[in-house]
Amino acid sequence: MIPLFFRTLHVSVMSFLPNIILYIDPGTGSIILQAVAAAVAGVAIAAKIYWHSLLKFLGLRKEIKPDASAPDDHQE
Amino acid sequence: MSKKIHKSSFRDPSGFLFFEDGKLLRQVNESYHQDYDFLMGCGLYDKLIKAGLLIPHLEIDGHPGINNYAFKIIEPEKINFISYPYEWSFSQLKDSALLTLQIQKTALEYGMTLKDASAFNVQLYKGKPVFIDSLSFEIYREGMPWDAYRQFCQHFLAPLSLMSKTDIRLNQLLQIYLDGIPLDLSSKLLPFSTRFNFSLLIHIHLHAKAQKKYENKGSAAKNIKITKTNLHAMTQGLISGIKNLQINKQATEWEKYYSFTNYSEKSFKHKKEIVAKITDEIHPKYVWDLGANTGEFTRIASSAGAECIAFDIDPLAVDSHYRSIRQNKIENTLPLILDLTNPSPSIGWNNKERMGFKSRELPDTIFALALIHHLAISNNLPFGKIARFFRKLSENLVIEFIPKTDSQVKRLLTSRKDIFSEYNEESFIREFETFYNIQIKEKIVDSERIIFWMKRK
Repeated sequence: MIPLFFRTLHVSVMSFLPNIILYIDPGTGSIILQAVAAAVAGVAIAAKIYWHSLLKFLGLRKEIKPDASAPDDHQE
Repeated sequence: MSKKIHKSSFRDPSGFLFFEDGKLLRQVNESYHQDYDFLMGCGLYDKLIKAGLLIPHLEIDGHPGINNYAFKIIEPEKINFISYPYEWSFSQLKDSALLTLQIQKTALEYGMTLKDASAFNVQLYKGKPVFIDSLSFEIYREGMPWDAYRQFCQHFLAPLSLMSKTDIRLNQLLQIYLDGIPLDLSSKLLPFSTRFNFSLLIHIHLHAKAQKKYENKGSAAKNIKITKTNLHAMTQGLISGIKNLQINKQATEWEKYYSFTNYSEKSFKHKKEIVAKITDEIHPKYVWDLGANTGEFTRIASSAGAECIAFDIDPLAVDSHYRSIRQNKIENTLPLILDLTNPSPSIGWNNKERMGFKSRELPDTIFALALIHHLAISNNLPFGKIARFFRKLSENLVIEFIPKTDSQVKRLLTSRKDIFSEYNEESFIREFETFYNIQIKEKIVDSERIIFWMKRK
């Protein structure tokens, strides 16, 4: 499942970036994994905001927490 | 005018640190011109300084620099004692990780990003972590990934998760792996249950697998683009993941030392009075408290205005001490983990990149309270060797002698043969008087322990 996730991401993120000289090696696998992690975090935050907006719309919640954060908040 | 390039400052082409007439200066190279101007002009520098997150610096006008690449010379605020991540307790490393992420988050808001996220870019200064590398910022370009992500995970997330989920002592791996703990190793050492922790699953376990999968496919990530919103969300996710990591309260040798010591309340109070009296006589400016535990006696020196480094072998005692000084906003005490029988060596490139214990700024006074029996009995060190070691460190020595009749010493001897015929007050005084003049000798009431103030000959 994971390799398929990486493959899907890999073909969907083709775009141009300027050449920047790096003095530390960011690591190929680390960049690819980071793209996955960032996408998941982005979706999670968007979902969280929509969920709070929905609750607010329905009158079940007064306001959105100012510190909306990633799903890790609810781990452990 | 003497100029000497700092031994650990060679990796970043943006500039380097150098000493000039006792001052520590930083050359900013022409290649960093644009990023430096952006950092200073966009409001990020001021924001970070105001929040106490970054070490402030002054720009030195008219300085020609060390070589032709110089664009500017700056003088960062001086930090007297440099410590390293492998000497930090869990909370010290955790606060440093959160500092780094907070800076990355703020930098993104100002159109910049951290180009490296090494734990060595952080120092514990005035009671809390502060970011010391003002050349770590670069202008953010839409779509760019966080190049320092791997380094952040290796330097911070890996040791913190290992300390939290496997064993508190695993911070010592940072001394072996100077560029952070390899993620495949961390993944192997972490318990299986951590695969159900979202943050650790992604940033350690899957990260390690991705590294392995793409290790020889350098071009695979060339076109990857990450939106700023997602990068920001990931940074926030890392903050939450790290905040969730807690110290596992393993019982350690020292945790409840003060509760099962043979001190009566009266003798404990008297010991404090003796140490306070000696401190008052010495007027120390800079103290190393060796075997400081949670800092009961360090506080006497710090309250008297001395800069204090409080070393202890126990990571939980150091952690508790650190949390206490942070809570009480004590700025002149730095608690650190140290095994005095195997102190931090000089390591890294040419064995000079990271300073050893004795290569750092030495104190004028040492406290060695309730320590001698651990060195002499647990570690079989003769008094002469201990005296010789202390003599090289400082002029004043405040040391406690604990006789064999003391329950703490008896406890050390319960499981072993007593081969320490020389462990007595007479031999102790004889050996230490070879190198020191005794200024004060005072017995603690309700106990057989003696406190000495000795001055180096």
